[in-house]
Amino acid sequence: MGFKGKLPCILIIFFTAGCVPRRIIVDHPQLISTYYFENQIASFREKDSLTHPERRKLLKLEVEFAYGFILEEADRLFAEDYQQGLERAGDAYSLLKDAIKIGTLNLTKKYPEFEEWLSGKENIILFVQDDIYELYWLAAAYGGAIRASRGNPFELIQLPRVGKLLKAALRLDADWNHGALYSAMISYTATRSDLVGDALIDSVNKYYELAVSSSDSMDAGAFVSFAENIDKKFQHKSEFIRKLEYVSGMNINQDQDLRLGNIIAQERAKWLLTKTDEYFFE
Amino acid sequence: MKRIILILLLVSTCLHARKTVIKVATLAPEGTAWHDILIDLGQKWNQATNGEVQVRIYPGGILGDERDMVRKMRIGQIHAAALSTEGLSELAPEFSAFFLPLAYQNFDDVNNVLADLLPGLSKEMENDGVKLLYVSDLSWAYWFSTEPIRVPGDLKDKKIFTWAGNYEYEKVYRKAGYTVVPLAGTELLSGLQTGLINTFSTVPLYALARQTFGIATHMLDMKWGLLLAGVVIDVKTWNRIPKKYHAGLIQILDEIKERSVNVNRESELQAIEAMKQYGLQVHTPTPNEEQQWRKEVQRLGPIMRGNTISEETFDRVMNILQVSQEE
Repeated sequence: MGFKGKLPCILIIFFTAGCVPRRIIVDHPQLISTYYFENQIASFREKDSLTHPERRKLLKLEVEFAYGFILEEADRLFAEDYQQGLERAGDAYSLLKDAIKIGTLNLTKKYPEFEEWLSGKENIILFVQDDIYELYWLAAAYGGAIRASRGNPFELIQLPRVGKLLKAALRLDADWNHGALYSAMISYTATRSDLVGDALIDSVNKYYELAVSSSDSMDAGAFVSFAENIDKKFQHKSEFIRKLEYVSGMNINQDQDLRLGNIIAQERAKWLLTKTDEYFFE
Repeated sequence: MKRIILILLLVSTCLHARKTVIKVATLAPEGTAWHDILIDLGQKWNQATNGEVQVRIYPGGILGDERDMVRKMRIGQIHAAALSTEGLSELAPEFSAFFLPLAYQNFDDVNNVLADLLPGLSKEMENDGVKLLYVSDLSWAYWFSTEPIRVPGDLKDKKIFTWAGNYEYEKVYRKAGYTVVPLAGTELLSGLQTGLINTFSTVPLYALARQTFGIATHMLDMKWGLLLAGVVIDVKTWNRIPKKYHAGLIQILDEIKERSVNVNRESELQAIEAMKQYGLQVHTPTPNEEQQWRKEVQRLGPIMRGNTISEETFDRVMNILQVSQEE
């Protein structure tokens, strides 16, 4: 077996150990896409039936791949070639729809009335700490599907589900995974249609501050999310630049749990900085 | 050597000067179909002009509402805007003809009125410094309410939302005996939650995006109004683009328009269907109920004529529609 033949194994070992060199993720995302995500996802899909832990793993893989790689690529493409961007967003959409099915299945197996609860019925489910994983990744899958669908009404209508899932997880352990839930609440709150002006800024700011404090300023996603959702929207140019420059200079190796998310957020921050003149009206 | 540097400087200055940046404002949020249409338009214009035209989009009302956009365009802060009937009627009041309730029943009606009004309107707008590049139907508006509305009498005891700042309409509805509550569009959901309003007419996609269907669970399946979508550019900016490109740019717009009209019409149906799945009850009026609405609109006509729409335009549009609906 030559180097080329060993590459998939090497990448999988490095990736799962969280130490794949940053330059490979940034400069050769195709390698990670093909040798890690696509192969892993395909291997799960080949199986006749999946166990609960396997479904969990697949849910996370699909959301990470769709959100962190495909949608990131689609966003760059939209800026250059709309049609290609649309196609790539379509790829992410298919994966995220599958992730929604898997996350829902895991929670329905445990709580048969889960779908009723999610669709807004008054029933109460007593989730436990272990459910945060599914609640979080399912919320991310719904949020990603809405974004990837480019305004499809059947997806847009599901927005309250994102909030419901995240709030249920927050009630169990608000500081889970270095404040990942607070970070996700930044994006969700920014899309709430009943908030406007200062009320919107204050509500998003509350989650931003909690996310920053919970991660000890190490979750790059919180800064990028606030910069995109609030600073850009309200045309706070200097704040936008300040946050993104902070993320660009962050040492992403400091926290291994946040490393992959931080690499992706850091690259996004750098890309957004190049767009500053386009985004801000002067 | 000096001569070469001078020539290079001159050439680069000329090349730089030839680039036209068009700043376009819209209320459409990022990632929605209408915003996507503008992205597509910008990229195609850029290609068609070999990079000489660059379109920069400011989405999601970053630059204010449509009245602000029109004002900013007039003072040269922005160069173009993607507007709905609201903004278009700020530029040319005749567009208020598309606010007339129950006047249009199908796309033929809309197209017949547009075909009649547009040549004059475009010329009038151009004389006023604005070029109308694109106009088409965006969506029909329907009544949404917390309790079923079947006949005009059901509206009488309701608290009806109107757009804050739209004083003429507020006046018309009050004069007709209705209770109206002027609010900003962003206050629609909170207004319903607090009971400040319980009825409003809007396009289905807006009702869905504002998540009102959980409270306003009833919709009357009757085309009460129509929302147009248009793209305008200030004449000075348009004229800065070399003339050789104009025809090509218009052709691109026409192609995009054809696609976007289909997208808009499909989105409307999808929005209604999606809300139905979440409990929205859609009531189809009986012929008798429809007759009652027509009678009510006849009563509203004289109140609107000369107030929200000029007498001349009102009469002209009514004549076109009469012919269109008799055919």
